Amino acid sequence: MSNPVDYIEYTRRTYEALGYPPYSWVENLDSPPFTPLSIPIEEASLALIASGGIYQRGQSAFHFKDDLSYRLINTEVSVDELRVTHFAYDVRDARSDPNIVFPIEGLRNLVSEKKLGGLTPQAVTFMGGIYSARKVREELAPALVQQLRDQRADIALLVPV
Amino acid sequence: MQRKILMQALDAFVDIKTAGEIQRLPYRWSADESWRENPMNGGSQSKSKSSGDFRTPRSETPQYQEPEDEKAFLEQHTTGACGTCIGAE
Repeated sequence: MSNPVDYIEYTRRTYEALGYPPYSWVENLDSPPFTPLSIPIEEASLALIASGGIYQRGQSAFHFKDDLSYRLINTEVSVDELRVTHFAYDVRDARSDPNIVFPIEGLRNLVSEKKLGGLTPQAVTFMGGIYSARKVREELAPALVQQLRDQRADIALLVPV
Repeated sequence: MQRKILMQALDAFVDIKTAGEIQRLPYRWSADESWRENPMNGGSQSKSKSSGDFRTPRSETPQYQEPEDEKAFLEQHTTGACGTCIGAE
């Protein structure tokens, strides 16, 4: 298998080429909390969270400058209604098949096959590439966590881009 | 392949017992790996190595996939917020 892309070195090089000072990385010193799954996966309600800039036709698209908004998308949505917009990755494949960045059909199939208990009523989407870690930590992340609580999610699957 | 990845993601909810554990899957996006030379290219598909920022310029205007999407947004919001575009209405 190929080695992963070294995004840290890539970003350092890009910023240097643009004449910016060295990129200031977020450093999380605390270990992330860990909560073992306490119920069988076949009984768990999963929340799908995706950062690839997915919105549903009729919703507002994301903008490209530190957009802290998010969308709630009904998990019964038709894939034909899904749209993709993002400034930092090639979206052509995702627009051809939104399941690449928002695997809603695969998850619905697993629910039908009883390999997964269910999905929350709404999935949550936003657009990554937000430069302010503080705003993500203090504004967006708490709002997303509240959504998971409100929808009584047991587990969350984050699909990053 | 999408199904396999999802099944392995569900398995991870059960199998992972410690914080920070990463399970690497043996899949590759494409046999042509030239995209690795410029992985944050916003769509121009240039295969040259990065010498600057190739990403789409930033803007605070919603960037719709299709022009028709903006019309659909306006039609859906004629009476106010729809309640699903949180922070954008």
